[in-house]
Order: sequence, then C-alpha cells, then structure tokens
Amino acid sequence: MHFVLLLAILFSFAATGVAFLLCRKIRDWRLTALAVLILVLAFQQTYVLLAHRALPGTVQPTSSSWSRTWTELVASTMALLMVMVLSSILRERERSERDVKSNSELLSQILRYIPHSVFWKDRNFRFLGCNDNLARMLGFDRPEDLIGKSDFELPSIDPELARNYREADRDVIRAGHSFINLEEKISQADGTLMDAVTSKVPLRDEKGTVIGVLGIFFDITERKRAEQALRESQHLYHSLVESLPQCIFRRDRAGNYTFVNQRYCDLHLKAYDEIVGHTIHELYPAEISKRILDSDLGVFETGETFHTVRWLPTRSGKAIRVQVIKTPVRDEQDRTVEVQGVFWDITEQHHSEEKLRERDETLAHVTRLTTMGEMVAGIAHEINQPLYAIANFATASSRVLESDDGNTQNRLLEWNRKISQQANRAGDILRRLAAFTKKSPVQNTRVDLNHLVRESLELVGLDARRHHVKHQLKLVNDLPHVQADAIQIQQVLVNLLRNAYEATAHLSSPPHEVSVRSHVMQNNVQISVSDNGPGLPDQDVDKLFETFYTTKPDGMGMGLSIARTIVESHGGKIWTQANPDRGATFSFLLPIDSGDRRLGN
Amino acid sequence: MEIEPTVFIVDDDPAARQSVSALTESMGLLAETFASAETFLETYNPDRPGCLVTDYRMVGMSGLELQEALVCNKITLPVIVITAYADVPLAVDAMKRGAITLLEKPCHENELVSNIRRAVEMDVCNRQEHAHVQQIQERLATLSNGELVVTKLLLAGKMNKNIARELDLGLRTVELRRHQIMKKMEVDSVAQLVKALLAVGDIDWTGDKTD
Repeated sequence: MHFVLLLAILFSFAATGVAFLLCRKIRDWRLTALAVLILVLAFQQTYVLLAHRALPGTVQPTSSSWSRTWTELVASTMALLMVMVLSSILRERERSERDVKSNSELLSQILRYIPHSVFWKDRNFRFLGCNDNLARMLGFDRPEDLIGKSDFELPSIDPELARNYREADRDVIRAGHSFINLEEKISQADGTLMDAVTSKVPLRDEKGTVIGVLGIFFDITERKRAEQALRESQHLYHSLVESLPQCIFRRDRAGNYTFVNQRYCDLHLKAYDEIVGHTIHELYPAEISKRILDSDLGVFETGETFHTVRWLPTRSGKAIRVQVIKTPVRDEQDRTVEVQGVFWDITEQHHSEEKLRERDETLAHVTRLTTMGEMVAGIAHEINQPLYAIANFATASSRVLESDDGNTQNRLLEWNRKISQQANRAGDILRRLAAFTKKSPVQNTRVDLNHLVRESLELVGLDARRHHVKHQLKLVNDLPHVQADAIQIQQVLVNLLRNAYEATAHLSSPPHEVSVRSHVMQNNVQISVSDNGPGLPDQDVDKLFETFYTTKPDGMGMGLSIARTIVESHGGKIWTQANPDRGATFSFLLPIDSGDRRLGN
Repeated sequence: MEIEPTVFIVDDDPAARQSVSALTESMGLLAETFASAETFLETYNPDRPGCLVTDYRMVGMSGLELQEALVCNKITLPVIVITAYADVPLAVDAMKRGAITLLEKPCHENELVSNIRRAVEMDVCNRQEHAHVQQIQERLATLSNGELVVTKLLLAGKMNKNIARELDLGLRTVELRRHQIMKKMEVDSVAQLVKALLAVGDIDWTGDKTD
C-alpha cells in the first residue's frame, strides 16, 4: 500500500516535470494546463486502479457508491473537456501554420515581382539571399547562386563600387545606421551602369543584435535621364530666351508680369524682381499701359496671335520703334490664361525705311515733274504762241511810241510795257505748271467721309509723327455718305492735314494739336481740320485758295487751289476761318448722296 | 546798188509772224514773212542780206531742218531760232547748226530786237567783207602772168633792181609792170597792195594768161 502510494507520488512529480517541460516547449498555457490535467487524471485513475488491485477486498474510503460515481463523473467531464480543448488547439495550430505558410509565400511572391532589387547579407558582408530581380541583374539564374558570395566576388561589380558598398554595409552593421534613399551607381552584368536609389537597414535577431544588413534599391536611370534631358532643355530654353535679341514677357489678364527675360529688364532698367510680380502700370505711364493692356485683352478675347508695330517709351527717355508679337498662353482646359509677348527694336530699320520712303517720295516728285515737263513742252508751244505775239506787238508799240513825243504816248508806253510783262508772267505760269499731277479719270462712288478721314490720317502718319502732332478726332456716328471720287477727296484731306501739321511746326513748344471733325450741315457733310498754329495772314485770306499764292517759303501755291478745284467740281465748298483762341480751321462740305436715307432736312 | 537788209520771218502761226514783222518794222528794217520753211527756201535769193527768224516747231520742216538746208546750200544768213520750250540738247543742236542764238517764247522785252539787230549787222559786215575780197580777186584776175610774177616778188619785199636781176629783165620793164600792177589793183603803195592781198588769202600765182 505504501509502496503504491509512493509510486503514485513519484509518478505525479514526474508528470509535473513533464508538464513543465512541455509547457516550456509548447509555450502555450492552454496546452500546458491540458497536459497537467491529463496527468492528474491519469494519476488518479492509476491510483484508483492500483488501490483496487493492491488491496482486494478492503473497503476503500473512496469506494462508496457516491464517491465512486462522483469520481467517474469528474473524470468523464474532464476527458470530454480535454478532447474539446485539444481539438480546438489543434485546429488553431493548423490554421496558424497555414497562415505562416501563406505569409511566407506572399513574401516570396512580393520579392519576386516587385521592380525593386532586394538583398540581405550577414555580418561578414556575404549574401544571405536576394530576390530574382537582383540575381538577374548581376548575371545569375537563381537567387540561391548568390548566397555566400561577397560583392568583391561578383564579376559584374566594379571593385571601386564594391568598396563603396562595403563601406556603407559596414556602417550599417557596425554602427547600426540606416541609409534611406541613397543615390549610387550599380554596375550590371550587361556592363551598363545603373543609377539607383538604395536604402540599407540593419538586420536584427529577436534580441535586437545586428546580424546583417538588408538592402533594397530601385532603378532610377530613366528618371535620371529624364531629369538630365529636362535640365538640358531648361538650359537650352534659358540660353535661347536670354541670348535672343528680343524682349520676352508674360502677363496675366490683370497686367501682372509672370515672366520677363533679361533683355526686357535691361530695356526697362529694372531688376527681374522689380518687374515680375508687379503690374504693367508700374512700368509705363497710365496712357501707354492702358493702350498695351487693351491689345492684351484682344489676345485674351480672340485667342489669336496679334502683330503690331508701335512706339515704346523707354526709361532713357527715347522712344523706340518696336515690332510686337503677342500670343495666347493656354492652360489644360484650353483657356487663355496669359499673354506671351516678344518684341524687338526696329528703330534703325524704321529710320532707314523712312529715309527710303522719303527718297521714293522725292523720286516720285521728280518723275512727276519730268512727266509734267514733257507734257508742258507740248502745250507750251500752243499757249506761248499768242503770248509771244503779244510780247512782240507790245515791244513794237513801245518802240514806235518811244520815238515820238507827247503825254498820251507816255501812258501808252507804260501800258504796252505791262502787256509785255503780263505776257512774260503767263509764260512763267506755264513753267510752274510742272507741279500739277496728272489727273486721272474721276470715279464717283458712295464715300464714307469718316472712313476717308481715318485712311488719310494713316497716309500722313509719318508727317504727323515728324511734327509730333496729337490728333483729336470728333467724328459723328452714322455719317451719311457722299458721292465723290475717294482719291480726289483724300487728296484734299491729305493737303489740309499736311498744311495743319506744317502750321503747328511754327510753335516753339508742344502740344502740336490738330483736330478733325465731321458733322452734318443741312444736306451736306462738313469736315473741318483745325490746328493750333500761328493762324491766318491778316489780309487776303481768300487768296490762299488761288493758284501760286503761297505763304510757305518753299510752297508751290498749288495745294489749296487744287483742293478748291476738287471740292467745287464735287458741288461742294471750301473755306477757312481763324480760330477764336489761336490757329486756323479749314473746312469743306460735300452734298450728301441723294440715295442716302439719312439725308438731312 | 546796195541792197537793204531784210528780216526773213518763218513761222506757221500768222499772229506770231505778224508780230515779229511789226517788231522789225519798228526797228526800221524790212520784213518778209513765210508760213513755212519750204516756201522760204523756194523764194530766197542768197544775195539778199539780213537775217532769218524761225520758229523751232512748225508743221512740215522744223527750224533745225531749215538750218541744215541753209548749210547745205552754203547760205550764210544769220539764224535766230525761237522755241516755246528750250532745253540744253535743243540749244546745243541749234548752235551747232550755226544759229547765233536760241530764244524762248515769249521773248523778253527787246531781247528779240537786240538779237535781230546784231544778226543783221553781222550779215551786212559779212557781206561787205565778202564783196571786198571778191573785188580784189577780180582785180587780181586782170593781171598778166608777167605782172603776177612781179607782184609775188614785190610781196616778198624785193627792190625793183633785185627783181630785174632775178627775172633777168631790164629795170625799166620791171618799173613798167609795177606801175601797171598798182593801177590794176587800184592801190597807191606796196603796203596797200600787201593789205589787199592778205584779205584774199590764198592766191593762184600760176596764171594761164600770156603777155
């Protein structure tokens, strides 16, 4: 009996020890508890069994029917419980194992398919493993072929580069540093150098001891190339924009500068920052900036390229002639968000063109005179014939009278001299006829005088600028048309405008102002050209319209007389009057075309 | 015997030629008018002195063509060309053909008068000179061959006795011939003889006359 008890106690200790060991091994408290329970039950059953077998016929204190039933019930319940817990544990185990398996598969899948190259090395800088990507890159079929090798043993890796890698690896392993996004070169098996961004982190065991290095890098060769291309293109663009002889700018709708090139800054004697981010109003006088913005607006609204040639004031005080091209700058939605302008100085070219034009004008004048000279030679013979006769008769009479005495004869002598002089003057007139231009056949059409005024202003723009004249236009809207030869009326307008400009030239100081007005006077359209020059001569104002009467030192005295001839041949009237303050106004009127419904009353 | 100078006026315009005619008359000169260059050439007698006033541009023959015709016919009548419009080439043309002047219509007071006067005077002078030369040539023609030889030596400034020796003649014969020469040439001295012969210029010393 005692022996059995001792055996049971021993067994129970052994079981406890096994349970403890199991517990450590399994590291699961449920399993441990279960094992202990099984042992306890086994012990009990053994004890009971042994007790019965050892002491047959003896009455056991526990062998009462209640006690026995209780013991059996507890044992069965325990057994059931055990089975349940065990099965649950086993299931869980199975699932967890499955999870682990699938996790590792996932990891290997990731390693296989990510575009990055991944490797891990031991503390001796030898490869512990890598992904397919890296193996392929370094010229190996399988990642396993790389295991155990160091960088220096890889034929594709340049020793110089290998030393660099080693240094970084050492830093990671010895000092536990991490490198994140380090740019370096990788030599590949195909001999090419790859630009890569590498991250290296220490590989640690559970205790946190560094056991190696984990590296991951990816190819940025393309990105680098793109960056390089971008840099080159930026450089190209920059050198183009800055070395062009043109001024370049960009402005938004409000007139704020978003870009200017150096030349633009130089022209305006300002720094880049003093222009970009500022508005055009800070750069130009209000009048000019408004005009420029108006033309910007045209580009914004039409979305079309705009060309123009204009005068531009500069800080140096001298205006330059510029050719401007403005183009719309569009965003992704194709909306014009900015206007980009390029302009360049054509002052020199403009001056030479102007000179050329002046020479052309002179040439045209000479040609006209030559043509006229030929014409005059023809008609001079006809007209000079009677003049010649008059002169001869007069001279003869004078001679006859000279030889006689008497008062009446003296008077006759005087008159005869006058006849002779007049005849000579008539000859002079014929010579001066050379200035007349050839008259082309009259072509009457319906003419809008407002339009003609604007056209004429363009024609004489050069003179206007030369005389620094400021125009004032007061043209009434919806002006009725007149029946006229547009070219001839234009000749009249050009003549009046030129006279006005020349009149203002007598002013010592600006402003030189010339205003052109149009309005309806009963059944006529009246055009007036006023200047602020010295005004009209005190007397003989009507003589201004006579042929060869001139107040200009180099005038022919033809302009206004031709103007009068033209206006009168159109059934109109031309006249002049002094302005109340200063200067003169020349006006003409032409009858409104009878077919025009706007005919006045 | 002296023919009075006449101003010949050629112009296709009646008023023009009448006016020049009036002017001419006021100068106390005779005038004759022609409506064309052709009629003038048909009727003109080169012996008649005076001058020609012609219009440049005319129906038919022009003033310059008329000048050319005059040169061809060796008519030395001074020419005044009148034109409505003068330019340099025209003036050069007219002067080349011997016009004394080119006037533009209408002529300034007395311009035409003074030019007509100058032209007439020039013609009269020319003609007088011409007549004088002709007279001397006529007189020269009356000299015999013997007299011509003596005249030639006289012009060379030789003395009578030297001439006699040179021509192997008697001194008396030389003196006689010399007397004849002075008489025929209507001169009083050798000096006058030299002056008269100089005006003629070239003299044909090889007379074909016999004594």
